[in-house]
Amino acid sequence: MKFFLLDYVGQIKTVTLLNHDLIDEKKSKKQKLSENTTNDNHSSIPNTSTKKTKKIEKKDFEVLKFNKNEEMEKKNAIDFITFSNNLKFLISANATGKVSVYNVETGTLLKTIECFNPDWTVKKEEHREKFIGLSEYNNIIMTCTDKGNLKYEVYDLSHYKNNNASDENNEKSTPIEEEEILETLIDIKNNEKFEINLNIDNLCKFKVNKKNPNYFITGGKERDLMLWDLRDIMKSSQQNDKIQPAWKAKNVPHNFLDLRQPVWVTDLAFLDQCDPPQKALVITGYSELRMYDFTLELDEKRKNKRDINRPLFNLKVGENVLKCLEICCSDPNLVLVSDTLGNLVQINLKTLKVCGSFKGTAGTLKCIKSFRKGEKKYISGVGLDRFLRVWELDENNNRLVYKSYLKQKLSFILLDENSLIEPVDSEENSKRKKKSKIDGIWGDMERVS
Amino acid sequence: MARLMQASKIPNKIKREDVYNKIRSQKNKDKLLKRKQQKKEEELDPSLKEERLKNNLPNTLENTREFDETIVEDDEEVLKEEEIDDFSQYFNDSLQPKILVTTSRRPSARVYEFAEEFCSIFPDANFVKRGSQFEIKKIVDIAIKREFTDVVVINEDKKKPNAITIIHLPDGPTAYYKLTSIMSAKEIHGHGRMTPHKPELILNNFNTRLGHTIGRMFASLFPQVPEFKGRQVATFHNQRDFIFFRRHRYIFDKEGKKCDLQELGPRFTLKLQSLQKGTFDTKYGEYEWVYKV
Repeated sequence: MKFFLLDYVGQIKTVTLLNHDLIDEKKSKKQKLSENTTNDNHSSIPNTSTKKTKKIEKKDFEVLKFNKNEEMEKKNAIDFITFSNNLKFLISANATGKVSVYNVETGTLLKTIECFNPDWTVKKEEHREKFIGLSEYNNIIMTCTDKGNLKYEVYDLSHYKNNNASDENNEKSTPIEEEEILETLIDIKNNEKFEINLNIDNLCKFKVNKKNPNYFITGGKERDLMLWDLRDIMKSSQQNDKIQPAWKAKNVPHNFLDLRQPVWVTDLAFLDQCDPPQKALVITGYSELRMYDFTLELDEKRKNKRDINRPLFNLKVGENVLKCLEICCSDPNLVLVSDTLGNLVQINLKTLKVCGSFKGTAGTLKCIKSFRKGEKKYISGVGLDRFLRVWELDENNNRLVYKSYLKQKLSFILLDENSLIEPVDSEENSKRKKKSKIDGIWGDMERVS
Repeated sequence: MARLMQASKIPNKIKREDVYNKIRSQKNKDKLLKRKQQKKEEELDPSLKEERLKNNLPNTLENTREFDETIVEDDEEVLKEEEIDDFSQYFNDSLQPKILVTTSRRPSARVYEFAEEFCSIFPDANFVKRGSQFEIKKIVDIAIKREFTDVVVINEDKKKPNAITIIHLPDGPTAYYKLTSIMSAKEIHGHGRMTPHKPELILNNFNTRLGHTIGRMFASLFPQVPEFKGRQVATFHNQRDFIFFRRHRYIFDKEGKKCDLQELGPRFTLKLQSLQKGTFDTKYGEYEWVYKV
């Protein structure tokens, strides 16, 4: 499997793991220890030399710097990264307010789009404008900043595509999808650009529905969850109306002292990528996990309008600020949540209970991704402790199967989904090769009549 | 062993002790004999001794330690990163440190004493009495406006200083240390009197990536060019994640071959509990490293 990792100095690193790299860390440690002791007994080598050999052993993974030309600088820090639809390009959103498009295979920079200009005179990092989300759909890049500046921009790399015959096929296939789903996005395609301010600031996260990219959700500090419909936004902007979200969450009821509960959405996600969107999950800075349903209607249970817009449940998870939310790839009822101390737990949405935890982190996790490879389910996480960790998700025993030190504080992780499928193919290929070899041996033999 | 087991069953205490002593002395005799013989053999054949010493490596904490992959050894990438980190202004542009030292709210007399000695270590430190209306976050904001580079807060528990928070301004990081084994200069036998010269700095064993950050943080608290005339040295020695602080004056003899050390004090030990990204914010801040038991 292949990971793209972002750090705070503007590097993109790729790490490629093979199946044999994923071993239980505890077991491997024991093995190494036993190897060392046997070494000491027989060959009487002082321990210092075994240290060195250990170091070489650890080099079984591959770290490549993806964007070689970029200078290491805090200003260049990349906040988000995503693949284009056809997995040919890598799109990154930079702290300088630029969106860059790279070629996945060669790592060459193809295009940069300027979205905003951060004010470098501001002393504190927190007060500068920054990206809060990035998404891509059929050559349209969607970005949003914490000041609520929404931007859609078309990137056209047809001149590049023409070089490759295989890419042309992709081009032919995409327009059909477009017509079916997205009239508004075609509008944007014709205009090449669409910019608007959502009239809210202090946003923390922006997520686009994968199935129907017209829908997106936002949330932030004192900005509760909002579902937006791009079609409505475009309509009202044409008529110069005030922009309204399609759906707006209502804060939870006052507490037992009749005090208002503060709002701080730190991360959010669509629970199911469907059209129109149904449910969304939200984690807050006050260590709560909430689920909202956009499709609720007035009934006997919910007689007031406000009841519809309130969360279906409000679950307290630990005591620290929750930072990352990830829905388990294999089971939509399982959610992974991590906090600022790096505690990563697994929550069952049916029972609303913590049903597992993942150990080993030393600092805050900034990004977690769940994926499956073959039959096994994995979770990878990166954070400020400069490590990439991979856990195997198991009902009885969640265990750390891989960890590597990557020298920088890491902020984001992107999984190359192609790499999850390839190894199986290569195995088959090798089998085929073996078969063909055997065939060759038989073929070479003379026929005996 | 069998004899020992039997001896433990003897009901009479005096008799039992007698037997025990006999066993012990016999053991010692055997040992002595064995060693004498070994010595004789080794005098005849010195290679035997060499081999014995080679094979007989005691297990110590140092050599049984697991290899830490985060140890930095002239790593180009890390060095490059350090050129642009939060402390780079001090190292590259020779920014003068300006430290604000304060205490927890309503401190006791001992904390003041320690704070005074603590301030004497850093030539650019100013002690400011803690107004109880100021939260640390507020102090940090004010300190940034007044262009301080660091804020140090000394905490106490049961009227003893027990923790130190060092906040680097304006963008962090914030380190929180447990503070133990404090010995003021007065308590040290034969201590010298400190002079206001800028001290030299020794940072020992800050080898891992985390250690580098911590080491740089300490370094950036001191003026960059020491006054060698003062012959004062401040040492931060890291051993098994405990940081020992000592301060000495060195004196060369007339020939300039031998060197004497005179301790100036204070002594204290720090243990890192957490390193937080950004300025002080225990509730909502993000941690680079947390000590987990």
